[in-house]
Amino acid sequence: MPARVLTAAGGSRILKRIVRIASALSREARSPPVGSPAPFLHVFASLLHPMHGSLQTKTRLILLLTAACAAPAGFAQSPGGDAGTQLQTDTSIATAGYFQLRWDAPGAVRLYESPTADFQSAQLVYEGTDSGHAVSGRSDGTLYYRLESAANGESLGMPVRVEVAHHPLGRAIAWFALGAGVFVATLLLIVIGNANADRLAGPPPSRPDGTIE
Amino acid sequence: MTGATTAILNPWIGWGILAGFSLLWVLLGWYWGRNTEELDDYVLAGRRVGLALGIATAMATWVTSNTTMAAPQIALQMGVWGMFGYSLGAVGLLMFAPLAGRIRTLMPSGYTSGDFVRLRYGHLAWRVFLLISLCYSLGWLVSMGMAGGVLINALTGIPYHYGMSVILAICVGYTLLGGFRAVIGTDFVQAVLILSGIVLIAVLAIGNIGIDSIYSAVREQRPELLNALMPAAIMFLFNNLLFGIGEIFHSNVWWSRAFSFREGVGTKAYTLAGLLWAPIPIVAGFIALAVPALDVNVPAADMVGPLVAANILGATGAVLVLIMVFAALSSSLDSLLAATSILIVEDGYRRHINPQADSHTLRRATSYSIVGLGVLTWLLCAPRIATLAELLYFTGAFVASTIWPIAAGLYLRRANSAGAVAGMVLGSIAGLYSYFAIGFYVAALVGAAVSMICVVVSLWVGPASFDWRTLSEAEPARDRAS
Repeated sequence: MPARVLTAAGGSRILKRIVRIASALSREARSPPVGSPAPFLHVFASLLHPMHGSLQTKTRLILLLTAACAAPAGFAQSPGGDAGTQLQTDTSIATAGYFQLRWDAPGAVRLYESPTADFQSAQLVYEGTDSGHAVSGRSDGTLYYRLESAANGESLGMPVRVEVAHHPLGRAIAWFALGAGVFVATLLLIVIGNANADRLAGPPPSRPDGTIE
Repeated sequence: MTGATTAILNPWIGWGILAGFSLLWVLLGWYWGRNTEELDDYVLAGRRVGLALGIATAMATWVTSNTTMAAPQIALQMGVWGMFGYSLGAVGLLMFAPLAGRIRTLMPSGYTSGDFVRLRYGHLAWRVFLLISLCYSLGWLVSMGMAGGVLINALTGIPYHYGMSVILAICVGYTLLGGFRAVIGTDFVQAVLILSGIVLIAVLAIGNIGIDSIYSAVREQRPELLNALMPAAIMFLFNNLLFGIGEIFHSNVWWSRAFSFREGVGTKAYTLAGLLWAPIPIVAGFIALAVPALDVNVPAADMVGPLVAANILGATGAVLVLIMVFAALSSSLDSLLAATSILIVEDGYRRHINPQADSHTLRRATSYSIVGLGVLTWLLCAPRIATLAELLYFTGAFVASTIWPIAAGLYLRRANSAGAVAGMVLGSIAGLYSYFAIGFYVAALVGAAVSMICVVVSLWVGPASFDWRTLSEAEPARDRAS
């Protein structure tokens, strides 16, 4: 999606070129090879690859930053989709309970949500001419979405599947504790530093031999 | 379910409001800046800003696209903890209050945060810091330019590129005309508009829908938003707090205010601004929780604020939101343009290219820099490459890594260049890695933690013995540092 939006925006040719490369890299990053430590590292590795050997250091840096910006904004088809799929999701595993659905369909559509792949108990979640639907606050589970034309009921592309799997609570509490530790340490630094501000304002203390500490 | 592709306001009403307020800002900018001839007057309002203006400018600047657009987005995604976590951004202002006093004392003639890092840690740390600071400033500028385009489009149907271009052009125009005096003066007017608008919208929203209806609908349709143990929201809490601290501690937007306030004003101004700011994201975020009760479709999470306000309050609400957010965006854009331009001129042009530049040349360079930044921001806003929150939180890893180098540099003699450089570089890398490996809601936290460890270790491994008097040598005419 980033490449499409950027092209439509009609920026400069250089910017377009940078973005095309960055988008390609970010697509690679979303599908890292088996064993890749993380998407970002894969992007980084791509930039350092001999394929980009002719690029100047500054250009690489720009590409790196652009790719990093573009990566999380991209939309991927669900694992169940094919090249003709029009309904897309920004993630197939939502670890925070929210995700974004987007489609590119002419006219009014109906969007259905179902807890099962056969859509036996599907619910209509949206009908209208919008081109997206933001989902949030969902509990753990698997959700399936299907899009159809409101005019004739014809299915538009393949359904998508999103798994909501929140981070484990223990992990979240560990992060919370780490954050609290950094915050308290910073606060103490400022409070104690400010209390001693007058003493700190002068020159560095000297040793008895006259040298500076 | 209602659609949301149709704008609430007629585009011509939107154009009328934009034209009216644009004219007002430009006239005020010209009026307040008509007598600014000296560099200090133009970039630091003569270093004589009083308490009332000081509070207003700090508060209005901190109410940005972050608050008015991303706070509802975070509330929609993270629920009540998201709202509360966002309001913890006020802690950054509160913690900067004592730092502002110390900065004014140690650097009575300072111009930028870059001045401090250069004099305190030397050239390597200074250049790393400048890279971080300029990346962040651009990210912030772009996120606000994009917010302007998105908001105006959502409310009036005016195409994104037109709205974004108008808001950037107006802010560049009046900042150019009036310099920092215009920024501070318009911030005061904008702060009054923002506070009045937010309070009015919250009162009308609660009156129209009711707390009970909002609560019931959220519990039924989006239960995790009310979950006090929602894991991602718990992880987000301190991340946002540290992100806010990092933004304020390092950014020249806040340092330039510390330099511009009269002696003794900085600490009080930042404390009161923080207290006034804290409830704003809660109020702004709260309206996003009305989405289930309203049964309104949100096509993209970053549009939820204006969409819901307009849906609840109709055309009047849309006008109100448009005015309020236009004020919020302007108050931040102008501050950032002014502060970043002096950073570029002082730390880039004068320190790297033309050390002998006189006051007149620097003032002219500042004007060119403001225009150049405006053009660059427009070019980066045009493609709209990420959503607001994504763009914003991407910078979290960078800015949080500056917290400890800045704070320790201001209070600890033993803080040293190696620790500062390692903290900023390794903190940024670790934060970026966690952004992609885990999520945006831990990037700043990891960056700050790694940076803190680097600085603390360096205190014991290679302690410095810094002479604080070095910092007072940052006057424009000479530079005896490092």
